Formats: sequence, structure tokens, C-alpha cells
Amino acid sequence: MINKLEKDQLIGNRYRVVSYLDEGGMQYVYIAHDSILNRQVALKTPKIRSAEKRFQRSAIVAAKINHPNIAKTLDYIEENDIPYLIEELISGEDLDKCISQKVKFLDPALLSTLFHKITKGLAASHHAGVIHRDLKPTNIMVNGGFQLTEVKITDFGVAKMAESEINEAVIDDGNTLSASATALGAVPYMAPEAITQESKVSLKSDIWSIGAMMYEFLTGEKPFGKGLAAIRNILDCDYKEFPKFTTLNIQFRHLSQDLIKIIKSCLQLDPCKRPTADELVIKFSNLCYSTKNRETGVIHSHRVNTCGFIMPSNNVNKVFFHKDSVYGKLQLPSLGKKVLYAKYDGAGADRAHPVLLLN
Amino acid sequence: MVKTIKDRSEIDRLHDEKIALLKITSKNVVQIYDIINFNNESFGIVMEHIDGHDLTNPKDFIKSSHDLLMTLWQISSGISDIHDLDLIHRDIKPNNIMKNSEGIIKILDFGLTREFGENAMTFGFKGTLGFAAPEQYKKMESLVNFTSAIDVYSFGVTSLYFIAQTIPKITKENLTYQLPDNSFDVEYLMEYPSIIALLERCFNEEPKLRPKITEIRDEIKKYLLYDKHNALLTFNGQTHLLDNKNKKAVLSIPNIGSCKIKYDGLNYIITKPIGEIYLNNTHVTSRMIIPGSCVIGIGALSRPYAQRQFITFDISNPEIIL
Repeated sequence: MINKLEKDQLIGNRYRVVSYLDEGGMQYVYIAHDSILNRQVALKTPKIRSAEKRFQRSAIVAAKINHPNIAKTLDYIEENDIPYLIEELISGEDLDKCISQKVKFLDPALLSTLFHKITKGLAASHHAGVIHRDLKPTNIMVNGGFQLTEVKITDFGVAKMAESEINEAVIDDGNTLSASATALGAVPYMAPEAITQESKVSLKSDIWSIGAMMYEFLTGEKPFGKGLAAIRNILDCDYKEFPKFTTLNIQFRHLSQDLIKIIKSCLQLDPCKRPTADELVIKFSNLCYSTKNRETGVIHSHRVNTCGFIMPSNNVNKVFFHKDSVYGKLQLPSLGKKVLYAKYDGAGADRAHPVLLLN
Repeated sequence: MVKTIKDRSEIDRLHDEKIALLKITSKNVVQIYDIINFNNESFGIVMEHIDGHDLTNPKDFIKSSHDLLMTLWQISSGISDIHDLDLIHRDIKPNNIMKNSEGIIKILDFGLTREFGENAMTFGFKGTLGFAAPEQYKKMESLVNFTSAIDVYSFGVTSLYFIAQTIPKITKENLTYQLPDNSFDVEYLMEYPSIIALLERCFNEEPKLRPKITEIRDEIKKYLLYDKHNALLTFNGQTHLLDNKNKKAVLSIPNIGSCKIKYDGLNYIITKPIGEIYLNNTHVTSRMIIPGSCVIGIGALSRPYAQRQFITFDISNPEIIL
């Protein structure tokens, strides 16, 4: 293990540690102050020695890419045999904390907005020939919450570590489970070839991960399940049928069907059959979806059996909604339920569409 | 590429460049990697090496309307990204813009960049004769407060250079350039009168009357995305897709209201509204461009709810493919 850094510790005679921020699977993340350019940066250092090589590679590959949807790699330093990766500091949270923990699933418009951005970033990295290798919600940073003001992919290329831990876990038949908790976090999104043949990992392995994440955000379920049990399903490309609610409601059916087609094209055993990131960007740009700002409120009252009003968080001017605008099961959400919605000017009251249930 | 500087007077200039560039992640602006301190007197900037050529020979890369629009769109996108960060480039011209081997255009040479507001005040003339806006010369001796409109002027001159291979001649006596009539009436722009109008307005002597660079970018983008939009209407339990093959739809509730929706390749338009037709909360009484995703209502608020219909309308967000 590598010891944690102390506050005010100076790295590379340039970056002063300000505070501990977070930890990912294999690394600690700190906020540091760049004394030359007088700005805050993210400073990452591996938790364990065996991850060091990945770190260096991650720095080299990620530094090639400049795109608004990719966290910018700024510097790489080795000091006393410990590597440090300096990255753009993104104010915000990862996709898991900021979205997954707050909703069961996303409505098709929000899902399209989110993955249109992610695939644009991925396309830029694939243009530079860079495979991410570990795309998952915790490696995607979001600023602005559900407004998705900034969406940035981070932690490029660190993933090989995860693969070797996975292999170990498989061989030991679950005995190394606790040690491999990190690796297991990646399993649900790993392409089959990433599990079986490290050498076969390609740009198309990232595309599989995009499909697996989209499946989860559309349906609320991981396509292949969790943990080691997911591995068999991944290798067989055996995912659960899309739940009926995704296409039952006419208001969402068309976009949902388009998204399901994209997901199915990504989740194919033969990597050659999966689309390229560029092709995905084109598919997203042909989808019809609104990017209107989202607001929060609670279900205030019902009117007949088909509609009702939402009280916005600021408690001013109730907003009308029809149950057809609610993504999920075809029923009126119960009173007091927290919702996220986009709003259109309307006569009498403004009109909410679409409406998404919050946890 | 490493750029170094030793001249003390140049250091302030370079400092501005690094602060500006560090904020930018734009596809159309050169990327800065790092700043290296050599000693107290000098430092270097490590920036992206661009494998390509500058834009001083437009005949080499502008061979069609599409080439011209694509070039102008990329430059205006880069300038928009710069202005979005409250920065002014101050020296937009063809030899400060490069095109790389993938056809991506990058704006560089930020030596003259200043932030808006107080920091934009500066003594003396810095810019390029012919490309700089009149206000950049006029107040040469006094404290000058520039706005982003100077980049819009230079963008106009750059466009003129691509089309007519000429730039305005400026003398010490005559600092204001009178754009000759029909300067932009060339074959490549013949079909785009609204773009010509915007380019002409770049030359306005009054900075406030020049268009915003985002306006220019968005107008060009509309033409580059001609016929590439899709729209989805959900009405009466059915969905209708409107695109370049299926260009028209009729919405109607007998005796209450009806209208047509048409896609003309650029916009979705409500035509022939009769009776109680609402776009969001606006009563539509004549032809109207649909501004984006919206709800179209048939039937006024005074009617019982069951008599009214609401149609959700969503438009795709197409991308320009380089």
C-alpha cells in the first residue's frame, strides 16, 4: 500500500495538496494547488504498487485527447518512485452518485442527452486511438446534476488492473471476492473479450460498456446482473428482455425503441458487429429528444384519474402533468412523490413533460 | 511545439496567452499542454503541434459552397468558444488559423487575448492592419475598452479574404472601411442571403451593431444541417416522424382548430393555423417557426379538458460531420 498524502505536501515542486477528495477503485484523489499556474487540480495516486504502470500509461494516453467531454490530463510526475497523475478538477460528482443513486432509471430524453455527450467524448478518444478500458458510471463526472451541464469521461486506461484481479477472482472461485471488490464494480460493464482475452480488448470493448450502461439507465436493471454471477451472462451475451414499461407509453415508445436498437447493437459478442463511436454519435444526433432544463418538485394533487399538479421546489405556481408524460409504469404517481420534469408554458398552468420519478 | 520568450516586454503578453488558453477545451482552438518556467526572466508554453497549414491560400481548400460554409462555421465556432469564456482573441486573421490533416480548423496565437471588462482596457494598438476593427486604431493614443465585437469585425475581413482574396486598405487618414456594395455576392454564397447579410454587418463601424459570433455560427450551422433534422409528433395515441422524406403533417380537431406542420429543410413551421391552436401558451394566428421541442395545444383553456388535445413535439439534435 502507498501511504495517503498529507495536507500541504508538495509534489514535483509544483502541486501542493489541499485536501483529500475521494478514492476510486485503485487510486486516491486529492485536490491540489498548482503553484505555477495558480489553479486547483485533481491529483491522483495509486493505492497499490501494482497499479503504478497503469498510471503512467493512463497519463500518456489521456494526454492525447482534448475534448469538452473528456477530463483533461495535465501532468504526470514520478517522485520517490510514486507516480502522480494531474488532471483537470471537475466540480461535480460521478454519474453513480449524481444520477444512479437518485433515480431508478432515466427517461429516454435525459438518457439521450447524457449518452450523446458521453459518446462524443468517447469518439474523440477513439480518434486518438485511445481505448478507455473501464467505462462505468463511477468513471464519468457530471457537473450541474440532472442539468448535465458538464459531462466528462475520466480515468482512461487504468483498467488492466481490474482485468487481472477479475481473472484471479474467477480462478479462485470467489475466495478473493473481498480483495477484488474494485474489479467487481467494473464487471457489469465489461465486454466479454475483456474478461476472457485481455489481448482482444479493442475500441469496440468501450462500445459494449456504453451499451451496458445505457441498458441500466433505461431499465433500472443491470443487463447481466451483478458480481461474479454476471460473468457467465456476459460471456453468453444473455441479457434480460427490456421491461415492457420502456415502450408501453406512446409518449416515449419511439425514442425508447430507437435507444433499445442502439443498446442491442452495442451488446453483440462479435466486436466487429458493434458500431464505432463515430457511428454512435450519428445515431444520437438523429434521435428526437428535448434538452430543456429540468426542475424538481413533488406531486401535489390528482385531477380525475389521468392527471394532476406538481408543486415546484420553490413552492410557486403549480405545474400541470398528464400521466402519459410520466416515464415508468402507466399509473399516476402518488401524492408527495418527488419528481424531476421539464416545463412548457401553458394556459392556466405550465405543463410538465417529461416527468421522471426521483427516489 | 514549445514557444519560448526572453524579451521582458513580451512576458506580460505571454502571460495573457497562457491564462486564456488554459481555460479552453475547444475543438477549434489550439490546445495548450503546460507552462515551463526556465527562470524568473522567461518561460515556455507547450502547445499542441498542428500538422497542417494556415489559411492564407484559400484557393487550396475552398472549392465549393460547402467548403466555404464549413470553414466559416469552424472558425466562428472557435471564436464562440473563446467568447464564451469572456475572452477576446484580438488578432483573428488567416495566418493565425490552421487546418490540420483531419480537416479540423484551429485558431491559434493568443498573444493578444484579453479578458473582457477592466482587463480589456489597454494602451496602444495591437492587432493586424487591415484585419483589425476601426476602434482598434482610432483610440491608439488613449485608453481603449474593446469588446468581443472586434473579433467579429476581423472574422468579417477574414471571410472577405477567403471570397474576394482582398482585405480592406486602411490608411492613417482613413481608418474606417466602407465595404463596397455586393462584396459578398459571390457564387459560393448566392443561395445564402441570410449569411451574406450577417457577414456584411460584421463591418459596421458601430461595434454594438455587429452580429454576435454565435449568431453567425448558428446561421451557418442551419445550412450545413439542411434536411438533416427529424421531428417526432405524438398525437392521438400515434407518433409521426417528420423528416426530409416526410415533410408535412396535419393536426386537427374538427370545429376547434387545425394547422399544418411543414419541414422546409431548415425549420419546422406551423402554417395555416385555423381556430384554437397554441404553441406552448402562445395563440398561433399566422405562420410561425417552431423554436424547438414544445407542446402544441388544440382547444382553448375555456373548453372542458376532454375537448382539448396536446401534441408533444421533439426535434433531433443533429451534428455537423467533418
